[in-house]
Amino acid sequence: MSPAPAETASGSGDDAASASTTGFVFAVGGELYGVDLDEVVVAVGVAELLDVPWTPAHVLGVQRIQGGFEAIISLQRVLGIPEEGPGDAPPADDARRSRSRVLLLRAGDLRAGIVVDRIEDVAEVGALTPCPPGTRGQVAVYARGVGRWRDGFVCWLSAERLLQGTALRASL
Amino acid sequence: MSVSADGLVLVTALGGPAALLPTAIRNVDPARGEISALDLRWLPHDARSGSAPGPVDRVVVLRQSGRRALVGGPLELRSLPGGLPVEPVPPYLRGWADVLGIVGLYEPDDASGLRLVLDPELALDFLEAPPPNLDPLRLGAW
Repeated sequence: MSPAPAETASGSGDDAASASTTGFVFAVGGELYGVDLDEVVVAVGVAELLDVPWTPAHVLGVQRIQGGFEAIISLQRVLGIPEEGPGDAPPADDARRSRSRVLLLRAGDLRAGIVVDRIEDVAEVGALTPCPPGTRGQVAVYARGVGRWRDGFVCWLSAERLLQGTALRASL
Repeated sequence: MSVSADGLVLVTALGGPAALLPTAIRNVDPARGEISALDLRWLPHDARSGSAPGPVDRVVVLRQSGRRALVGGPLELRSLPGGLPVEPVPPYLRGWADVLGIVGLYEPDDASGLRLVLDPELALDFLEAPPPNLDPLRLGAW
């Protein structure tokens, strides 16, 4: 399901440009998102994670990817997408999990994997346009704009904003 | 990176994930009473999601030069000749690691799971004066 632009607030969209954009299109929590191809190191399956104490809820753990340990974060939590409640039916959980992937993103010296429900495509979405009014707050923070894909819209994320904005680098 | 650990290292669990104190406890002889056990409650990982703290492992206090190094149980002593191969903490987690005194990650060959490697002095700094929102005995959040 594509995010309906009319549902969302005044997004920044200040990175929206006329150049065509190509990257991964993926689904998280029933919404479609994208990220530039050159901001993705690799897409891998979700493996067992090392739990890390005292980290924010969006940090799921670390996973070995390409020989090194990488932080894995929940994009769903970062973006404030509601998670299924305990009363929700488990919809073919194994099947869903089997489609889940980790996209390892990079931005400068930062790398982190985001968990996505499924990868839809590697596609060109044309020029990004500013996020429409009503864009959910956290989405607007990390979005570069909105692109068209098939018959819907894709919210295009900035890996740099996402990683810089959520990394645990500041001293307490 | 390799952390020297010519003697015994203490392999233990810290709030769920395991942790190592590779240098502080080198050559420690539990029989001489240099390690004493206390019953404390440790913040389980699930607690950050708002659930009530559950049963926790026994916590061991290691006394060193008048300071106390706190590690969790269960405990295991291992001999790791040649040092401990430690991999760096991902830069994304560097701030978290710095606060808690975590200097690296270690994956034993026996497939027993990943370990967090603590610098004992830094860990002591955290445990003696944790940031208010990261008090290990309270529900904390960043």
